[in-house]
Amino acid sequence: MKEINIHDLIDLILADVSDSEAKIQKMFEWHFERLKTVSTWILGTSVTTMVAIFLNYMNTNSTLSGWFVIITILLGFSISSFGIYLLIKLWKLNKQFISALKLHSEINKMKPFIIKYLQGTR
Amino acid sequence: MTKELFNSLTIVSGIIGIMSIIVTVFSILNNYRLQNKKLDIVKAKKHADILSSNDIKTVGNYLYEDIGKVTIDDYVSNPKIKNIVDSYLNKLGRFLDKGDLNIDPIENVVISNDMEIPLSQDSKVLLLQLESGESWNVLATLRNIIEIKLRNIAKKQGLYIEVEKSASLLLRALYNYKFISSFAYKNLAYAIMVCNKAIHGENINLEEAKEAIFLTERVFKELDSN
Repeated sequence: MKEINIHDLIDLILADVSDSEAKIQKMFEWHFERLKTVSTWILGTSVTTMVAIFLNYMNTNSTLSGWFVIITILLGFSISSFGIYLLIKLWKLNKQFISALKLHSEINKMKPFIIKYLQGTR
Repeated sequence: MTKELFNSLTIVSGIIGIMSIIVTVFSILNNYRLQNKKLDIVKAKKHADILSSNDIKTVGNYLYEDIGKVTIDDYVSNPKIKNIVDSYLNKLGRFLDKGDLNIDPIENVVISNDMEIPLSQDSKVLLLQLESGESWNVLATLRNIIEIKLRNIAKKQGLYIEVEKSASLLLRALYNYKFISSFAYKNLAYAIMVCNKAIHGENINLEEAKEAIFLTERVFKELDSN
């Protein structure tokens, strides 16, 4: 996730939040649902539009021009490229969740040092 | 629908399509640019130099400010950033490790009545810094001084010790091989234990820290006279 950095993990540890691993899991679940919803909507809309326009064009009574169909299909592909980009991000989310937990665990061991450091700088 | 409306829709669709591609490509390139910027920040400083500074601000700043800027996405998608972060966390973890030395100062430490011994210049500087509140820096420096001394003894005795081994492991090895006396082992073990606790982040009172410095000075004088 682009929204969480290691500084945020350190702040979460210092805040003494109970069961912070579960909170991290929740954040990732929200992010997962958000990405899934947006990518499904984008891919669904673009594919549906492309198919509808194409079928209409293939109909002998269609009044659509060839240029309109080509450009709409290109539009559909380009919008779906963004949807595919979001799907790839979704696929990486599992790895990011495991990495976030691993980093959280390692930094948690350094908590007394970090508190001492911050006491000296504030 | 009229032909004009179809044409207008076609043009608008084309524009939206082009914008969508531009946004996707821009997003990918911007992410790549930001990642490279963070990579430059985290690899600008050498980890060995940071940890050997014996300065809590230097060690902490690099973790909190520089490494802190790395996002989880950067960590997963950029192997170079991942290696640098893992390397520093690994080294820092070992540096901050409390170790397993557990010497009771009342029962095991040999403290004689002549604790007020002539101090070296290094020790005097450390005591001054201690008085000004820099206990972490002082005890990190003291542990480093002890480690250097022990490595020199090991080298003179022909004992090879890996660079990664801690001061406490070095001390134990030298004692097991009977290169140092029981007196030296117990006093230095106590000093290292105090240093390790302070570096880990625990509170160490002024008397404990001074005791560690005095004991180290005493042992070094004995080792130098042998």
